[in-house]
Formats: sequence, C-alpha cells, structure tokens
Amino acid sequence: MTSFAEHAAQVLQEPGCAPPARPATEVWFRHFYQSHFLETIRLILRFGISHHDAEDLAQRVFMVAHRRRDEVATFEPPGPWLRGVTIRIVREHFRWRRVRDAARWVLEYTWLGYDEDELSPERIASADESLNRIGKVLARMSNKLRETLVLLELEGMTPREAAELLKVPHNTLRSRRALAREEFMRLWEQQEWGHGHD
Amino acid sequence: MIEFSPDAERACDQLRGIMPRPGAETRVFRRIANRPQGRQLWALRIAVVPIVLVMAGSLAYGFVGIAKQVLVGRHEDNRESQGAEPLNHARSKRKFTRGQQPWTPPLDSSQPPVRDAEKPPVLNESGSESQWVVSVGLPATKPGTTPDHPRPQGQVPSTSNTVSTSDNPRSQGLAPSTPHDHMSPAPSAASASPLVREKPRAASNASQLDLEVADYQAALAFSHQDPQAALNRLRVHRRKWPTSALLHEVDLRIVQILSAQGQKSEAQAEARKFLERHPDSARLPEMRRLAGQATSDE
Repeated sequence: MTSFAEHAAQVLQEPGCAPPARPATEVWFRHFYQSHFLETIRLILRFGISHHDAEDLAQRVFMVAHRRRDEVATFEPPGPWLRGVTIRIVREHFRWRRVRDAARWVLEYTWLGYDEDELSPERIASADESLNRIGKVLARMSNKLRETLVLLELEGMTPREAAELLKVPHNTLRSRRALAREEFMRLWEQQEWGHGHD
Repeated sequence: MIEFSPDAERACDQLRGIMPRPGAETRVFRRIANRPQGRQLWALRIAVVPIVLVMAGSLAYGFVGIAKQVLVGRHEDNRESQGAEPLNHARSKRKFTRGQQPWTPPLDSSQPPVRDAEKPPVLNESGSESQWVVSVGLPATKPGTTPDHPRPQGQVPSTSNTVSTSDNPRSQGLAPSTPHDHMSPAPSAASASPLVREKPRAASNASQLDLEVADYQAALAFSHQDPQAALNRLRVHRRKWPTSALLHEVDLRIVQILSAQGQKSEAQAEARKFLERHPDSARLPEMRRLAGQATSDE
C-alpha cells in the first residue's frame, strides 16, 4: 500500500501531468539578464541619460543579447561584449538626440504631453541640480570624448580595458582622456557661467 | 592632467554612484518578454501595410490634385490669353439651357441695383457663355467699324451683360432693338450666328475702350456699397468720354442708381436724357415710364 504522497509523486511524473519545462535558452537568458542588468543600466546612466531613456536603452541592449543568445552563451565572460553593445546603443541614442528633442517639443504641445506618466522618481532625480548639469555637459561632448570620460573616469575601467572596448590604440585613448577632461571642464565652466548670468 | 573642480568632482561622484529606479529590472524584463515576436510581429507588419498604403495613396492623390489644378490653371490662362473661354468657368456656370431667357435685372426704383456678380451669365447662340462680348458687339456708336478693340484684361465677366454679338441689330444700327438687347442680350434663334471671337491681344496694347471699360468697372465696383460714389464716377465717365462705347450702359446705370436711391426728380431727368440719347434702346418702355411719359408699347 502506497501512501498518498507516493501516489501523487507517481501521478506527477506521468508525461501528461508534468509541468512544461522552460526551454534552456529562456532559463539562460533570465539568468544572464539578472546578472548583468544592474551594471548595464548603471553604465547607461553614467552617460547622463535620464532614467526613462536608460530603461529603454537597457531593453534594447538585452534584446540584442536575446536575439544572439546562442552566440552570447559561448562568450566567457560576456561582460565586455555586453558593454560594447551598450556603448554602441548609447552612441546611437546621442546621434538621434536632436530628432528626439524636436519630437518631444511636438509632443509637449499635443494632448499626449498632458498625460501623466510614471516619471516622478525621474523628476526627483532630474531635480538634482548636479546630475542635471553633468548630463547636459556630457550631452554636449563628442561621442569619442564622452565615451572615454565615462569609461575611464566614471565607470572606473582601466585604460587598457577601455581601449579594447572602444577598439582604439592605448595611446589614442590616453590622449583622448586628456582632451575629454579638458573639454568637460570647459563645458562645465561655460555652463556655470551661463547659470550665473541667467 | 586637468583636475576637476570640486563641484564637478561632486557631480561625477553622484554619477558614479547612480542607481536605477526601483523596479526597473522587472519592468524592463517584462517589456522584453512581452515584445511581439514571430507571428505577432508579422501580424503587426501586415496590419501596418494597408495603413501605410492608404496614407501613401492619399498623399499621391493630393499631390496629383494639386498638380492638376496648377496645370489646368496654366492651361486656362493660356486659353484666356488666346481669347478662348476658360474651361472650368464655363463648365461651372453652364446652368441655362439653350433658348432659355436669362434673368433681367429689375429697373424698379424700389429695388436696389443688382451687383454684377448676382447677374446670370449671358448665353451666346450655342448656349454657352459669351465672355468677350463688349468689344464684339459695341460698334453701335461707331458704325462701320469692325470690332477691333482689344479685349479688356481681367474685367470681362461683369461686362457680359452689355451686348453679346456683332450681329446684334441694335449695335449695328440696322433694326430696332429688342427687349433682350442690352441687359438681357440672349439673341433669338432668328438672329443666331456663330460666335465672333476677337483675336488675342497683347496686354500692353491698351486702347481707349480698355480705359473706358476699366473706368466703368471701377464705377460699378462702388455701386453696391457706396452708390453715391458710383454715381459720381459714372458721371465723370460720361464727361470724360462723351462718345464712350459704354455710354448706353453708363446712362442706364445712372438712372438705376438714382431710382434706387429714391431721387425721383433726378432719375426722371436722367431718364429723359436717356430717351433723347438712346432712342433705339431696349429700355425705352421702362425709361418712358420713369420719365413720366406714356409708353406706346403699353
């Protein structure tokens, strides 16, 4: 005589009653996403991008990873590849910034502009003067200098890692670093001057 | 290496320690998991295709319509400059059938003079509008001359109620005028003849008739809103061109305006002058009635 627990275990092991197993790729992607989401979105945010846009960009990064999951699963570790994808997507984001600004201007003058969104934390964050200001300064920098500054000064990567990631020679990156700091301070002071005279 | 200022360094520190919004990880993953894929994506694309096609078709239709209007407008301008009737204009105004009597404006003092825009179009023998009527049928004051005046530029439609064709009996002084001679100049079938169209003229070749017509038109422009100004201009016209080709029209308009304004004595005086100057006018019965004389027709 078998107990009820044994009987239930036998029933659940039958093919028709077993819960459908998740595909291995889905399990892998979920794990990959949980492991790398935070560092990816923080890297995006360090470019001075708003939280709302950062979530969009993070989604695009992980959609690329999902599309190429078979290939990405073989990378060991996948972090550098993911950072490269992130850098390219952020570069694309800044490239289309003017178009988005124009579209946002149109949106603000339509009924959509009155719609309440979930951006209250973002608005709190953007109310922070320093973050807002550094975001504007980074947005005014060129792609090369901005990426160099963010990766080396904010992300804390070594010059060698950053050079490999950006696919530029080590010395080029060093000169870019000096230029980036100079440009950053110039724009920062320029904006400070503008703030004082507004 | 350039050093950052303290406030810039502080801002960089904030950026180094920045964290995503709470719940961002779940939110983004849900968006990735719920994105359309496979069949859904194709269904979305297929649903978008007809919308895009309809929008493209509408745009193309709009552009073709605009191009057509521009091209047809140019074509009509060319036709007008060559003395032909404008196509759309004639088509849109073709409301009278052949042989139908057009409407005659009243010459009653109780009713104001009617603006030219409210008058019906004048029909020629073929039932279509006769646009270039002034220069064709006006040699009544200049008998023996051919209608060789250039067509007035841009002022033709409002003069279309004057005289229509060159075979008009009154205009040639050959026969007494009919009631449809001047203000209602639809010719009868007996006097039907092919429409005489003048040859195209250069815009710079302005003749006296052009000036007369222009002056008459300018006076008529005042007739509805400022009848007194119109009256003054018509009188000036009469003094300026005593042998004006539009003298009959000018006199008639003066009587009309005076009647409409209720200036009975002046209207009667003008009507008497009209009877003396235009003894063969189609408006004789009405003028006689206005002048206080008995009409032989009645």
